[in-house]
Amino acid sequence: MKKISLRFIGALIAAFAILLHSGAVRAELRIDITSGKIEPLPIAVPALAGGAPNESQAGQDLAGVVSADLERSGLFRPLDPRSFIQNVSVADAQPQFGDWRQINAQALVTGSVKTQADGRLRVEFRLWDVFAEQQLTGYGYTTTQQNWRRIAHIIADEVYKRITGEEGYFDTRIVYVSESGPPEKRVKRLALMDQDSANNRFLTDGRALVLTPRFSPTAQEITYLSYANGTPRVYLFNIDTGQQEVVGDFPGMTFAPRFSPDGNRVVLSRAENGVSNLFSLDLRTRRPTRLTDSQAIDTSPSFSPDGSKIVFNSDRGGSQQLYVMSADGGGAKRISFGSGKYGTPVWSPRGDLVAFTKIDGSSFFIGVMRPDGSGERLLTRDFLVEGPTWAPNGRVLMYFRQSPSDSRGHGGSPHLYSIDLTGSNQREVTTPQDASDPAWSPLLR
Amino acid sequence: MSVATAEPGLIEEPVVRDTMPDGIAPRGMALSVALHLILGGLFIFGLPRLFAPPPPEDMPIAVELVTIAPETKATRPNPNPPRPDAKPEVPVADTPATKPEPEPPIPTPAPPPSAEAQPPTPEPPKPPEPKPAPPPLLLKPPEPKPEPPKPTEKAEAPRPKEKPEPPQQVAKNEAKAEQKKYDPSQFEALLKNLAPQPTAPSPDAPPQRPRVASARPSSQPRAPLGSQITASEVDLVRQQIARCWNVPAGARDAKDLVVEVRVNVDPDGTVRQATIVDQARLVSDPFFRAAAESARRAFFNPLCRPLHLPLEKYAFWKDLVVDFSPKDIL
Repeated sequence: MKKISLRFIGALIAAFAILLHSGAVRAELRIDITSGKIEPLPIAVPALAGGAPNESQAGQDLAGVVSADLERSGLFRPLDPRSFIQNVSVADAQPQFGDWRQINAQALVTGSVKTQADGRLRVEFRLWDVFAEQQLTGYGYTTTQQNWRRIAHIIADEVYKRITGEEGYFDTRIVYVSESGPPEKRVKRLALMDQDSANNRFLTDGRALVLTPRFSPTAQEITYLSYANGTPRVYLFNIDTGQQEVVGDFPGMTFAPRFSPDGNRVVLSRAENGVSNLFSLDLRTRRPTRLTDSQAIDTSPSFSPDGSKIVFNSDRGGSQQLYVMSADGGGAKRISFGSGKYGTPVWSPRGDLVAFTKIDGSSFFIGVMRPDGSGERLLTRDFLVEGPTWAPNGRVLMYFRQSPSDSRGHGGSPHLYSIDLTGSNQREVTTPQDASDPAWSPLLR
Repeated sequence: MSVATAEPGLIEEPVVRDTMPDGIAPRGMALSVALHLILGGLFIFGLPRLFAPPPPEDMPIAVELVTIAPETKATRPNPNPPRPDAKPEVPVADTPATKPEPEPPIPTPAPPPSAEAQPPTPEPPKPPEPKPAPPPLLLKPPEPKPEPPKPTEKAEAPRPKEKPEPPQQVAKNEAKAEQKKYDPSQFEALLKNLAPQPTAPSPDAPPQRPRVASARPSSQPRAPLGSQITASEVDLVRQQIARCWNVPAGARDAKDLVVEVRVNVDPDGTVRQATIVDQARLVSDPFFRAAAESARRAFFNPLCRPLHLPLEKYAFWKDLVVDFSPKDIL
């Protein structure tokens, strides 16, 4: 009896000991972080170092453009150069990271500008992780003096790409319809500018009304709608040569053109007997192929980036909705089921979303949904917003917005805006005149 | 009388009782009582340990508490000691690392007219520096920083935190050394700093340090208590890290970008090393790399240096695994 109880107690004690000790065997401390802050990354872009005065000036201009690009993206917060402690005069030396940490810079761009013997500019830059004290990337470029803005955009793209993991979109251009004059006698011209509004120029003289310009994936050509010969027809415009030509030998009116991802075809709408159907035209053989044959208005076709599908809008079901079909026509499936009407679908260059214009009640929206119709999100709403176009990285949308004119006839003019895919960072894109129908080019390189 | 007789009777009775149980009771009872006492004692002293732990998550009980502070101070080398002066090689070494990136595409980002991007590697105009053949853009010998007090600085290397200006350096070093001795008190000081911390965007290290010293005595007795990290302590540091983490929002499939970071922390709460576990994906997936680097940057954010962790439980958190998952955010 005594022995038993003693053993029992011994076992009890042992059990306690094991229990107490078991904690020691447990795994290392693991912490799950499922929230964070969505804030622009503080980045310092001091003037690139230059020796001669013109080089210093170029270095300052370059840094300014890089800074502005990054800032406009909404993902970066360039720090005020006046807060800089370190004067980066020696661009190639390792930065004094402490100085940059002190002003809370998390990334730093340094670089240099030199004029070569042949008069061209040699620009080099490095991107640094200030906290880790590491170089993240670095490149050198050579170009003519006049071309310096492109170098700045390319540098901004590299920075963007390294920090976000996505391709940049700064070295791109926008084609749009520039509008001027009174409403009853509106002049609409094709215009082309850098994505940061610089280097604006007009492509057409304004004698003929133009609409819906679209960039070719090769960036040298634009397809658009012009009333040049009385009838609205789809044209091609070569940016380098200025040459224009009608696309396809269609009888009657053609509109809403868009290139295929390989640039070899154009899809468009053609009006026939009160309805309109979709056609595809091979630009090499000039042979048209009918894609739809409905008794409805089928229009605004846009290819998926892999070229296998086309999204378009049609009122075949009674109201204007979005449909997806295979690229050779057939198998059309409705994807939009919300209230209101949907139009101008554009497939994202990264393939995961379709942007569209939606009209519900008296409001216009720009929104996105997945190609199967799920996950509809409305990004912006206004009296009139229309015509979304994707930045080549599929991360930013540009569109035009028009406010109602007031009682005195003021306002009411269209302007370009850009917005981040997350619905944040809506910004006006400045143009010399009123502007509508923007189309984003692919990256230029 | 009756009273008198009653008294003896009363006295006797207890005597009789004592002897009655004689054979069995005296020892058995004593043993039983003793064992019950032990059991009771076990419960009393054991219970708190048994039931206090539940809140903490996965905490090992480490035994080497005492030795830790000294050893980390002295022996741990700075993982990225970029500043050992007069060592241009360090920056140089950095550059080649990025060199692989000059993927073929970029070399041609040149504008059509006349721009040609040159891959960093072939950099002829670099006569002064023979060795950095690999570094792309390194034109000049990266100049060593003119920092006079090298020796002291090196001693300080393990804490890459702030870079003291040359003049104050020595003083700071001394100050730091002192504080390290008082390590146990730092947690207290940190707790005190909690309120100001979130509001102050960049609480510099210096202001905190003095408080450490002053807080020391009061914190001393507390150190031995509670050997487990509590849930609230984990929450505290979780919130702190969350504030330091710039989420890569809007990236494609961002919700799948879960980054696991292995972190070594110094006793003062500063992260010495943060290593991304999935190195393969780091190389192959630029989205993951961006997400991973954003996660790693969190530990070097001034708001997270030091981390708010109780010094007396250093053994629990000297090695952390931190999972960053944006799925709740996007």
